[in-house]
Amino acid sequence: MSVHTYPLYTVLGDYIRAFLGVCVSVVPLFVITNKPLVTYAFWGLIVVFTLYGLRTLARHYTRVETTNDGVAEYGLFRHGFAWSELSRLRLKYFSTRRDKSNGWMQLEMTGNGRRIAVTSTISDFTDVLARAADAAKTNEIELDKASLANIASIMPGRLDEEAAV
Amino acid sequence: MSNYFVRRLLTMMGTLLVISVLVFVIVQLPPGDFLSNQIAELQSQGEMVPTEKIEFLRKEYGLDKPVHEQYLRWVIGLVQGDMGYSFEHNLPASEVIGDRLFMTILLNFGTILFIYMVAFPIGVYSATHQYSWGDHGLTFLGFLGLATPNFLLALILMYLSHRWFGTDIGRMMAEQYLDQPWSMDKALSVLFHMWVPVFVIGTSGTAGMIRRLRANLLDELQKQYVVTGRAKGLPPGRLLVKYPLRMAINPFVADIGNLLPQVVSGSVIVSFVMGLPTTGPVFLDALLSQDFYLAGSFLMFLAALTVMGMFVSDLLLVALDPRIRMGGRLRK
Repeated sequence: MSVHTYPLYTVLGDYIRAFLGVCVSVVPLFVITNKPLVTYAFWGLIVVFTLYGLRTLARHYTRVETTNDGVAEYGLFRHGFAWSELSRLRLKYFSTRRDKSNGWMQLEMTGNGRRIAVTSTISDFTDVLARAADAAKTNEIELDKASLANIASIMPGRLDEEAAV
Repeated sequence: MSNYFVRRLLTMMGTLLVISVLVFVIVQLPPGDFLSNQIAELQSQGEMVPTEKIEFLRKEYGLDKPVHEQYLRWVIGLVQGDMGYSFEHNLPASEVIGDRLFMTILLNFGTILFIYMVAFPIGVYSATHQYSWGDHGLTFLGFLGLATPNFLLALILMYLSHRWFGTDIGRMMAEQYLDQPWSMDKALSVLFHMWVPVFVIGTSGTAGMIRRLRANLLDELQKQYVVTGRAKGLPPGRLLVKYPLRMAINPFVADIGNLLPQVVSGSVIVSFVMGLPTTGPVFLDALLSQDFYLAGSFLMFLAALTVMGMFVSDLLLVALDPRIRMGGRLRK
């Protein structure tokens, strides 16, 4: 069994972003006096950044366990499923830079009606991905082109790219 | 995705803040200000302006304050939805723009809808029927549209309609509805008049979009996965929609960010030529007369459109194709 967590240094940036977002959205509320519509917009931003901060907190204390039999997540929700129940797998890549560098990946696994998502900042991400990719191959799951390309960029030759069509 | 959304939201807010500084600096760059221009104009007409009056007006308009104070006053106003005071019109900027902003949004939304509705089917047809008569004809029309300046097309259309039908196709509504409150008849009149400016402003954008979609789709159609799909017996329609079209549509979506400001700024001269009651002519006047608050607010409006357009197109792109690109590195 292997245990995967999000160490503090991987979520510190997200905490800072949530804090900055709340600060930037709170300041205008002190100078806005008579425009309720604009006030609502800034309250909306505060809610977004607060939720993001709480989500980061939840992720910080999330633990993902993988075994040869299945995967389980212990955090805000506690759920898991066996690899044989894996029915959908997606690996997405996100980057806020124009040259698409310095981004992160998100692995989404669905099985038995449960969905577990982990990002590439989790410890030993490639181990989780390798197990999930093997299970997808065994279960003959049809993967989209983006997921195949992303898997190939981390583990070349692990999955056949023609399986997408 | 939520992580991406929040990061892009923060970047957007930071970008808008930097743009506000740049807009303020750029608008302040020309020597003098609105008041000194007015005084110089009066003096050139031989009129004497008392120093006390100049000082009074300078204080009244806040032009005696330090630059950073003027900036803060302007930005705080913008955050509150207050676009400042137009020196030239002697009215709040929001009142000067008034109905024009609604007309501008209506016109530009119509134009963008027109561009996508026309460019998408034609681009797909041109790529899937490469080198056919239809493709050649549509490509020729596309080049014609790209090469013709909007204002020239407006002038030609106005001339032709006047000569052939004896009607004036300028303006956004029939003359009797000008300065009238909104009614069903007025709305119908606006819709009836809108197609001409929408066509004029949208032509070059449509032509550009057709060219881009055609080129992207042709690239994708020649890739091996499409050949494999055909070999496996996928129906042509399903194969096209499910795979190459999704890939080819990416640059199409990425253009949303550029399209909004292009359409808005491109409609400035057309609005002048066709006498449209949009914000364009007001903006040009404000720039010429150094009406700082009006010009600055308009520039910020354009910048906000660009940044929001980019934000929307980036979100759509990530949803459409969240794939690592060549040269992309994974942070761990």
